Amino acid sequence: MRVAAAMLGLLLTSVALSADDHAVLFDDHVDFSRLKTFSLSTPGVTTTRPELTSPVLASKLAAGLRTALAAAGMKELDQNADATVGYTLNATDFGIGPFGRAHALTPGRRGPAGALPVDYTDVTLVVDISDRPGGTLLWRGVYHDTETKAGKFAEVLPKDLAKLFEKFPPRRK
Amino acid sequence: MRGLLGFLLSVVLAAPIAAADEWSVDASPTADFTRFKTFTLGGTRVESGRPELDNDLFVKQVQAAIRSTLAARGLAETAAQGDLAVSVVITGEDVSTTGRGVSIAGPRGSGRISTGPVSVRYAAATLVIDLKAAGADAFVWRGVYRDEESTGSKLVAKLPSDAQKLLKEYPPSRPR
Repeated sequence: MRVAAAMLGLLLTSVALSADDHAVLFDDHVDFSRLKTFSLSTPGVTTTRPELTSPVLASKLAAGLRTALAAAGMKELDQNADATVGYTLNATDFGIGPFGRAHALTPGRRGPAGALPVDYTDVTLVVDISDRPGGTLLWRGVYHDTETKAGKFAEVLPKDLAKLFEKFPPRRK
Repeated sequence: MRGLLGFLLSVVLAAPIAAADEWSVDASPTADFTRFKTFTLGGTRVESGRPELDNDLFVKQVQAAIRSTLAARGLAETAAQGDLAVSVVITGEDVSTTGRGVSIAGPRGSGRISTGPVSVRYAAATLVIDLKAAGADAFVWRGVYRDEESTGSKLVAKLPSDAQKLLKEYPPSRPR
């Protein structure tokens, strides 16, 4: 019986557990080895969730970017770098309705979905590397992370960022 | 018990996955496709809030797939004024729905325990490729591919090959 209860619990949280996803896109005509230096741009955080606007999280993510790029042999410069690197964070809360459907919860929303409690939060982390002179996008990593407790993002987002850079720099085809 | 556990696990893992592809092509019955020798790749528009789809890198991947497939179909690319103008629109959609839950036997004599419907979310995109004949100012061919995948990263990986699948139907196999 305990096993059955555990399975039911697992089913109910299955969406949250299985929703992490990431994609990395890059221009395969670009020789990334020519990028020797980088500068960090101001992060774009389009959420008011205090767990995600935390300066501590921002410094962890910036440190993660520096570590990943240093591992690829790139040095940080304040200006005139070969590449500009930046990230954005976007969050959406979801509530499961009475018939099992997940509704995106937007602040100020009216109707039944507006009254739902937050069951889980989706965060999308986007890291962009652009050519400094032209601003052309050269590389993009996107990580969708879903957690039932928003406090967990401070712990998992730096790991998500590291995962995006696992195969950086990309090799030309 | 292990069999039941295995079954339940498989349901849990499969629940959020929706993979239903649908595609179609339509060609003008009056167009003479043998006279089209060149093409010009025009605009590619992405209408999606997903950052993995709405970016120039992904657009380049789709365009490269289109170029290689049309070249393989005997059409040469020209920078402007090709016999065919190719335009592409990709519309993304995040779907939130429900799937059937599972029921399992409860303790002896107590019947079954059911989860009820379970939340299912997936990513969908509709790819539309239009070929317009130069001069005639008329669309002569349209391919539409609707792809549903459990994640956005799978959509990114699939849509270029979806474009190729559509264009392999060009030219129409016989005059209509």
